[in-house]
Amino acid sequence: MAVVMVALGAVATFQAPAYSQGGAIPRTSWDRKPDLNGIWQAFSTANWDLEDHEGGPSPVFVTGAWGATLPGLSVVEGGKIPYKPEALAKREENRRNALPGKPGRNLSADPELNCFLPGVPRATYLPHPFQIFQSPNRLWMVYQFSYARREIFMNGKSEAPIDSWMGWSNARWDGDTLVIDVRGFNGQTWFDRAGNYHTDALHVVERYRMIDRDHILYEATIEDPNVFTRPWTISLPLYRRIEKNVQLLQFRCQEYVEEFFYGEFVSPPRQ
Amino acid sequence: MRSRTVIVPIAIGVVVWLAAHASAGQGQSEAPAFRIPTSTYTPPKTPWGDPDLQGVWDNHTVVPMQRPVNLAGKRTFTDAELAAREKARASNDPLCNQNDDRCANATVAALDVLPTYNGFWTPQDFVYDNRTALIEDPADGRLPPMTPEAVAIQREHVRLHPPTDPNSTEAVEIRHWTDYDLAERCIAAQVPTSTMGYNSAQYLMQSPGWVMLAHERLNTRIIPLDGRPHLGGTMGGWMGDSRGRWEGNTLVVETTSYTNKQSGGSVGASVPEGIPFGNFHVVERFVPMARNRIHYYVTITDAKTWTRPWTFMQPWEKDRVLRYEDNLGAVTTEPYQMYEYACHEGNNTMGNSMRGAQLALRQQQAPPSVPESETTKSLMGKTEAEIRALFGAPVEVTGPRWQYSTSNGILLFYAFFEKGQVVRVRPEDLRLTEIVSNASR
Repeated sequence: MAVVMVALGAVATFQAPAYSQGGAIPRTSWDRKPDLNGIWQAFSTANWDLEDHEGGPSPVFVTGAWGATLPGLSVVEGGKIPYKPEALAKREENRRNALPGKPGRNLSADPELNCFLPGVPRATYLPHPFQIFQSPNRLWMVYQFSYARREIFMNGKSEAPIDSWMGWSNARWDGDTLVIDVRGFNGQTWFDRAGNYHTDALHVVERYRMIDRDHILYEATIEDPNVFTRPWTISLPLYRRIEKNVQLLQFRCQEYVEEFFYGEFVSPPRQ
Repeated sequence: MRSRTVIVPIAIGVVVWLAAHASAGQGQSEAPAFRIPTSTYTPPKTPWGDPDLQGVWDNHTVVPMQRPVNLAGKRTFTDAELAAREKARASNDPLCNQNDDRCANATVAALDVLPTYNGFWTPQDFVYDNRTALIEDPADGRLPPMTPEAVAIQREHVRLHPPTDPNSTEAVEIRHWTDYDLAERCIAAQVPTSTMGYNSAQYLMQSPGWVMLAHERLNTRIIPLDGRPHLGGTMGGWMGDSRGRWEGNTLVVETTSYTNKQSGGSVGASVPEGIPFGNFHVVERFVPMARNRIHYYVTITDAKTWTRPWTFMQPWEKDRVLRYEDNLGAVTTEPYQMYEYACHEGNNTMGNSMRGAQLALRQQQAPPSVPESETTKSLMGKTEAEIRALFGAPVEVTGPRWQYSTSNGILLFYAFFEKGQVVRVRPEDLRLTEIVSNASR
């Protein structure tokens, strides 16, 4: 069986010596744009809280240090999210409801708890890898978390025909930076476990800029006049997963919440 | 066209091959038991030199996996037969509603068979296929015999989940969330998928060294082409673990390392319910036939389940333009665009259905001691005026069926009328006091 050896560019990164860093930005053979193909991951605690947060005990005492909150510094430029006063109160309420401590689909809890699709930008900094597929005029991102995915329209200005969890993405190149404009969100996702939230007026502009072969500087500017006094920006690096044979693995968390959702409706098995 | 006289010696060859490889385990290359037809079409190439099969591919079909017994020996339909069958099928009906004369004038029996729900969801614009079965090998279009072990597994599955209809052999009873199939649980569609019913598209995306198949419903498959080994064990999970390669212009994908937790069935499933697929060795061949047509061949080998490998084929069509018609007859067309399929996020049905199953089982074991005169069963024979006097106006009337619901839209009961009298009521065991206190006014 023939191993497919690709003529140019992208797959060369697989054959490169492992664990080296730096190196020139790989470029596609077809348009000489940065080649983002690969498996990436944010090594960040932003999913616990976009803002500064201390380490803390597990919210469920029996999970001990396993379930502890990891400490981290804010990924928000300027440190704080510019909430309107009434929206800040809602964020605090979300924070109290994030982990309701009782079974069942709980729509006031953190959507991650229910294994709901994570939305953007949260999908990027969940503690899971994601894979970028880039070919001429086509771009997809697939996230390990629940196999969430986005079709990203290149050079398109298409309008979201309907609201969705992952939004509707249009991309363009700004020099060597991939800029993705995301709208059409349904307003049901959160940014983190700390209750930071938005409404369906959310508008996200993501910027992916390779700073060397194995690193992308990721920025997302977040706008939602219902909740924030002005647009604000998060930034964090994305790291290429360079282990040999790395691939996304199954994390279909629907299965992991079934007992939580349906446990009370089980009947004893037929003998 | 193949003939039976050619196939028979090949089938014998398969048995020999199985015996020779019985202890070889998974991961071996397929012996060419059934020869996949080749194609002379040459697709365009990607910049990195792979055949370019990218785009939205639809495989919506009405062709059954197995050839119906009454069509034995008949491999294809003529164009005239196809046209007649199309005419006989239900159109892509809007929901049966108050404005629909067929519903309004239907008898109770006719209402049962009107495409009131499923007809709306299942579009009738199928990818052209004149065959009578998806199965290509065995040549009779039927699944090969199952092993005694697999037959026993399937029987036990049905025994533990008995059908409500004594004439049925399908597993029905629900006691646990794992009694639902994978698709109902919003986890996955079985790989390989076959007939999906609706939303039958997949986006085939390529990047150097990879193929990604985003199925419109549930599955996102990521297939490396760099010759790396399989994950092994059960690491592939619900969809198995896929490795791909190009053989000429044909994409060949081998899948193993499935989870051993699941049984078959579910929408899009290629194997019968109750068949575990943890031992599957699946080889898919995407044969490009024309710019917008692939013949998708799948060979399933599982010596624990079937006495020989078997192969089915589905035609895939790219860049279809879909046509939609609304209740008022307005028609729109648009190129096939896949949308987000947030299945789990909206899955209220499973919890409600499990709750219902639990209540039904409890009632079976200890029927409530409510006299029939106090339940909906006592409504049989009552007139429309009597029903109105008891519960007010129905929330909805669909032909002979009156619906009563709670104020927040939860269905309470249906009464079916013929000649002005109730001839059927569902459910029959609901306390009348519950309706009076809950019905929407």
